[in-house]
Amino acid sequence: MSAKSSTSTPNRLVLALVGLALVAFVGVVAFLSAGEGADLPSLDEVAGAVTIDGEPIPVPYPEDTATPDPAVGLPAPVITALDYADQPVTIGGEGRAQVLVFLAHWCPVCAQELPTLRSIVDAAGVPDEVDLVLVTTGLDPGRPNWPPQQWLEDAGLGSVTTVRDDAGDAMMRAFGLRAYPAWAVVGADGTLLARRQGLLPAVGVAQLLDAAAAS
Amino acid sequence: MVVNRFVGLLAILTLVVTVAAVVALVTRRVPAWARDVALPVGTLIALGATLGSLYYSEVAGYPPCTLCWYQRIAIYPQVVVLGVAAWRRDREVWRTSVPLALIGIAFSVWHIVIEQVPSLAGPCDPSNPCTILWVEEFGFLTIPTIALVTGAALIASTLLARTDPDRSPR
Repeated sequence: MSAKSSTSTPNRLVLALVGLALVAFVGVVAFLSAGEGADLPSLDEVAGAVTIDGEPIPVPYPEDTATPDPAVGLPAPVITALDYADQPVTIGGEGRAQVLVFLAHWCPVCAQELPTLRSIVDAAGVPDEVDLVLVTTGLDPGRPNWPPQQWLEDAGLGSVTTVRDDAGDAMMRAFGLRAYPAWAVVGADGTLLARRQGLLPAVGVAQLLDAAAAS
Repeated sequence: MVVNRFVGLLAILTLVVTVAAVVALVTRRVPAWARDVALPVGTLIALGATLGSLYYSEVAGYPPCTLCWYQRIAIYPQVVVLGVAAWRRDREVWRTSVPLALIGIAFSVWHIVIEQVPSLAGPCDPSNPCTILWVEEFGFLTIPTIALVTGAALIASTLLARTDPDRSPR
């Protein structure tokens, strides 16, 4: 029986060589088919200079979302940051109401939020008296979807005002927010009207826009 | 990236071999040579998955998330478990290997689910959320998908090795 088995079983050396040849073939195919890495901007080129006037929101966003946010009604910090055309944009202070959306390019939940944002922008769902401002934060060139401006353009949001947080998330921390995506609504009088963390459905975004418009 | 493409192609190759093994098991037509090479091949698959995982964390700089660690725990020991079994021709190693692989597969499935529907895992933790897609080859091969394929391949290889030689064609 063992003699029969040995005559019908391929030589182990042949099997090992076939295996090695297969792996080598896969390596060659991978080398030939993989695309070249693009020349991408560095963190310093993407991160913006952020100036914060006044006090940051002293209360972190509550873990328990059933608890009323104790920061609502506090004055929002006044922040000057740069957009992707290097033009200064002022966040907070008296003037127009703003809805800020903090987005991390590598965060899949943020990516899940983009179609909702786009549908609202495309449908002219942002009230005239409100500015919708995207903030690219959590910047990390080693993570997916770098650089963030390209990621937003690909999502059809290139026309929305987008400002650049610094490399340490100073803007987001100034609002006491710690996870992505995050939202902050600043009323026309410069007070904080609402904060949120996590994915919002279209109706949730509309509520924030309405709250901003009502201020 | 060449390494991602290489890993992706190896995963597809492993998937094809696994499907062939499952077909052989279901139809009860396991060639003797396949039974003989099952454990060495399983060892190589576990070794490849281990080295690939270490490459991603230690060379490419992709930090393993919590779920990645649970899957590693299920796969790394298989290099030794299957290696020793292959050396000793221990066809009963499935009793150890299959439960380990099933534990890893359970975590892989949940990891794949939250990759597909990230909001199920809540907002992104700034440090290292499990929902980040560090690798995505051919539109479906992510790190937990590759871990799932590895787990399935290890189950198939150990079950192939235990098949009764008297009931299989030579």
